[in-house]
Amino acid sequence: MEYLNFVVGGAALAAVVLSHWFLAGRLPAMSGRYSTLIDRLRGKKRTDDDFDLSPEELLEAMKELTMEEFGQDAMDAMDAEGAPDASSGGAVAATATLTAPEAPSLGLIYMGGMVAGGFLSALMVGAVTPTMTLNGVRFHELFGSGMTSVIPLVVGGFFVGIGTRMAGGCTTGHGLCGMGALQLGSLVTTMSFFGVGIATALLLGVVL
Amino acid sequence: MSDAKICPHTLSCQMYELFQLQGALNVWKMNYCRGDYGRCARYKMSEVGGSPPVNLMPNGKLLNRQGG
Repeated sequence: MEYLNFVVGGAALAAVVLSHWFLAGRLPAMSGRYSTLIDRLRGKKRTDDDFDLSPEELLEAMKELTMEEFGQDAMDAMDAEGAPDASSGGAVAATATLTAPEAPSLGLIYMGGMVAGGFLSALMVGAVTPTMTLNGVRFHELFGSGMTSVIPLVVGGFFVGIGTRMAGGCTTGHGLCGMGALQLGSLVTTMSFFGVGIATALLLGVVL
Repeated sequence: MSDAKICPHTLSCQMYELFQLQGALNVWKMNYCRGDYGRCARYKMSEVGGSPPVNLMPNGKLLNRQGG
């Protein structure tokens, strides 16, 4: 299989992040989408079950939290500077969003697009062949082929699932977006999972 | 990045728009959106690709009928 130059691949990834930001208004994330999907399957709403507020109730709730956080003096000082436009399109739209039914999940479309894109890419190079070896020579050497190689795949996936939720993100969220945004937490997370991955690969090479 | 003046997510943040509802709510903008936005719970979640709940306040508390 002939791959594109890694620089082209990197540029393509950057294009995905930027286009997602401009089209969806947020950074792309894979593990977070799975969590959202699971929540939806469980019937869990994005907001609190009691979050069914009228605009007046919403304003009172926000004022209460503001008082709790900053105190009356700070609120009075801001009020004295003049009221912003509560009828602005943005404020009205945001209020409507908070009190409206949940919109269809972007996550399903996102994940479906990833699967479709990967499949299309494999079709283009004529590499659509089911395999248990991940097409990696090393994996085959370590774990063989057939059903026995499913076990390390399941175990590995299990730890990936736990790790991404504990870290609040994965290679997309932390490695691609968080690192690009110079977030220290993402740097620590990325170093950790790459470091452990490298160490594990080296250890398996020695032990097995 | 947190030393910059304005949070880069203001254009897409629903909570930022809600602060337009009353003048007193500008205190959130002063302390988070146009201040030390790096400590905003919504910003932190967005930066790692997460989707902050629409009722998540910058201080990490959730907005609901009881006000928090």
